Amino acid sequence: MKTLRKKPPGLASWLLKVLASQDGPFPIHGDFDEEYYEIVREKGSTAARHWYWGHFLRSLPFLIKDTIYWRFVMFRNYLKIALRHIKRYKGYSFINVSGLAIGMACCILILMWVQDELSFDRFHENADDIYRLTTATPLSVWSSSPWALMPTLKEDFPEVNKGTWYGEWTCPVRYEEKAFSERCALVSSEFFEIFTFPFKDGDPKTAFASLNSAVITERTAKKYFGEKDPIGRVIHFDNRVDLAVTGVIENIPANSSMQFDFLTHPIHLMGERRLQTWSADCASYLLLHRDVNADEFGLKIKDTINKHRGENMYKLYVGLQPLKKIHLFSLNGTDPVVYVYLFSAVAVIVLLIAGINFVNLSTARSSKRAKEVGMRKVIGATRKDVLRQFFGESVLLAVFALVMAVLLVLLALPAFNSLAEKQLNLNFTQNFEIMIGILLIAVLTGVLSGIYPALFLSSFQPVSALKNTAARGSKGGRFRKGLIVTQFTASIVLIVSTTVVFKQMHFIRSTDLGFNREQIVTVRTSRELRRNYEAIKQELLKDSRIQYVSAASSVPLNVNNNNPVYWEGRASESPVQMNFACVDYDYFETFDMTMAHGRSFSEDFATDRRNYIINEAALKLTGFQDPVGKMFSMGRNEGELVGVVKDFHGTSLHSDIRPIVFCLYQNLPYFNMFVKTSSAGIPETIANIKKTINKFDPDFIFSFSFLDEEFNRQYRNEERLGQIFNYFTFLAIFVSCLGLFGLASFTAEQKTKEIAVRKILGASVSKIVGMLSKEFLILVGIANVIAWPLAYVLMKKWIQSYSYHTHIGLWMFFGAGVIALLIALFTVSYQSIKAASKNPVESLKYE
Amino acid sequence: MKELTKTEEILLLSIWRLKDEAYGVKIRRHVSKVIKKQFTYGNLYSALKQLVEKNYVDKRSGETVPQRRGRRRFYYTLTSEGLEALKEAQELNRSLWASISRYAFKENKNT
Repeated sequence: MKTLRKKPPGLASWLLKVLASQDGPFPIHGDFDEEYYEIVREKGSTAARHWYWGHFLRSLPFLIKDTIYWRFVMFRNYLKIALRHIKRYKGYSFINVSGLAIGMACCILILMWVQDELSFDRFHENADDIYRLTTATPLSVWSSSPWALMPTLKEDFPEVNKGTWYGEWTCPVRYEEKAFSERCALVSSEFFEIFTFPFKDGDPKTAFASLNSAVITERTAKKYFGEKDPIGRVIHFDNRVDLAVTGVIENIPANSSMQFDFLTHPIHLMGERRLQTWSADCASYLLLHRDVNADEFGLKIKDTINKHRGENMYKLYVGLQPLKKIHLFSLNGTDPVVYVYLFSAVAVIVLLIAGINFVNLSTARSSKRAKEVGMRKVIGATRKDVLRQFFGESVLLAVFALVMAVLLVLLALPAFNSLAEKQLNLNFTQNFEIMIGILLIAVLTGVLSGIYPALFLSSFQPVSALKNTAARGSKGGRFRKGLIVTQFTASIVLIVSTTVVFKQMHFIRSTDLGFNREQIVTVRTSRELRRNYEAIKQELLKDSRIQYVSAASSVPLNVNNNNPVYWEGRASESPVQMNFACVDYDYFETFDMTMAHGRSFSEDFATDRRNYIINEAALKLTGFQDPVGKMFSMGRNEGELVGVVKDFHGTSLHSDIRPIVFCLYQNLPYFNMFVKTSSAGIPETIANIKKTINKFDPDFIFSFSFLDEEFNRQYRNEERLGQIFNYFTFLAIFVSCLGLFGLASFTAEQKTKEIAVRKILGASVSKIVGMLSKEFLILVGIANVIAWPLAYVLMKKWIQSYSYHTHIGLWMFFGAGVIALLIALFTVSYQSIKAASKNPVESLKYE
Repeated sequence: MKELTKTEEILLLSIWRLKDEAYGVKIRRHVSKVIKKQFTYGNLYSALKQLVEKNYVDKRSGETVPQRRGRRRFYYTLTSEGLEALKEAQELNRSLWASISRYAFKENKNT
């Protein structure tokens, strides 16, 4: 049989196998092979292959028609049976599908959110090779770097392809009669060669050919020029220079970490000299060549700043931060990416719970169909046919749930967007991955929930199935119980987490922060204003509603500058870094901060212009027992400590309170003016502030903010996420209850006869309700035992990301457990009472 | 009773002729030879299916040979209805041809 080695063409043979697998009585495949070998013997293998392919192709119409025909016939039958089932058990089907749909909808929403978070800054073509320069002291890391750093690196290191500054400033811009305060980005000419911001008008290559040019966003162009062609129009920038618009870019996408409306060269605002300084106050981005190893390059440039700064200046180390990490990884403190993980976990849990429901209900119901399976088997269905039927049915339901889920998402999206402060929309091309993913999940849920009934039911011996003895196995019960425990474990973990999150949010709101932030109006000042600050202050204080006026280099929420400090009796010569703020008199009074030692700055002491006040955290560092009067210096300015202010929480409670030094230096600009008002007539007060300021600087575009609002903004993201978290937890619990409800009613229904017999024998309604509920309550109890340690570990981890946090109390666990038990009891008892109060005659009359 | 189609007639006659040898490969080859062009398995089996449904032929599964790689042959035999239908077809043919010429139908069949 030498010829047997020359096998028929593989592909055709395989196709034949697939297509003719349904043929059963038609042995086409065998005929093909037999004749093929005959032709090999008669005419050789080439001819035989030709014959095989030729005949295969010519037989194809028949094969396909036949396959489709039979598949369709069976499919129609399966579909009919599935639809009959859905109709017959409307309640179950509704619970089953809607639970899954809610779960999927939650999952889609969360995944959309996650995808949006992950998409930040990735739209730039060079995103992989763009890095932001960072500077670091041992104390902290900043996203800012000296103006002079970027050009120096570009010149000295061939690894750098291109580089740009990026400074965000709010500046007044005027065109004819229209004047606005714009978010300006100060960038160098290579900006558009590094970042991808598509141009609507103008040429990105020549847009910054001249220093006196500006690029604006579409939105801004419309605001200033309406429908007129913006290119070449001259606008007045920061009340000092005329710039020509050379380009219009599309509005900045929401998923960009850089947000601005106006681009120009920094020279207009900073002046030439400032751009060559080595103190850090702007962001810089580098585009590295593709083959450069960023880690190695980062080490190479680490000391660049120190080389250019004086010997006795403190050390500042340069680092690189990949553009793609800017949004999700912070330089200090908790990375926002934690929320991405957290939310992904919630998405998985919600889907898991919904999936379990689906599996549970389908398996529970499937035991009702043992007879159908027995019948099919008697008629000639193979195990494979039964498997296919049940898989098909559950996948069909799952896909149906998916359609519902998409509709739910469309309904819920506007609300979700306003909650999450995003502009997500379900776009089938844009969210392609999500849609494919969810479709896969739907099919997977269908298959998973089909596996158990399919395997279980298809294994029946037709005889025992028809005798109705097969479906009574306790195996299925144990499987379902396991799933219920899983489901409730997840729910309880979510309840505990919600409580902890809620309590921490409450803790944040109610913690005494050590300073008063109510009724304080913050005004960002201009140069003109700084010059006339004293006069403005006196003028404002004439208003009886204004209690204090003060100013500082930074708001108390954000004291970020730092300087080396020395103090009396310090052993080591090397300086220590501390944050500092330059403040005006009345600063501590304005914010209602208390002095722990000594006094605050006072105009009565002329020497205070050289003196210092530190906070308690700094005091701890110095180790002074009696700080007042001790020698202290910052940089080279020597002075005395006149007081110690009590610690206050300026930054978020995530981080420790840092040591801060306050001084009165007036050669450093006060960037912010604070006006403490009384609660009455705030609008009038603000109008008065505006009037007063404009008296001194008519061009000043007055904008203000309330300090408490700004403070709350620090936590807004977290509160918002906490809120979203709560909603999803609620939905998850709701979906679990839905499942429990369905399952309880199913159990009650299955036990109809048992209940009737028990009643006849004298059992009371309450006994029967107890019997039915007990089973579920035990399960929820077990779930509690598993969930508590799990929730504890998870929440401990989360809460430790706050330096100042509330405690996880035992009552939270008991509370969650009791809530879960009550919910379960409530859900189950409705069904059990209904079952228990039925007249036994009704249940038994068909026996 | 409906008349047989030409394909059905040819198939039934082939099966009858091949006797114990009437399975897929042999039938197809025989028919191809008779009609002097390639008769495909698609055509063969779609026609056979009809014949089985009309109860003109019976089928039974038989042995397998190595060339079939484990797949069984299915043998077809005429049923009495099949034979009846053939006779009717012959009758019809004869009466149709009789008035036209003396062409020997039987000889033609025997080549």
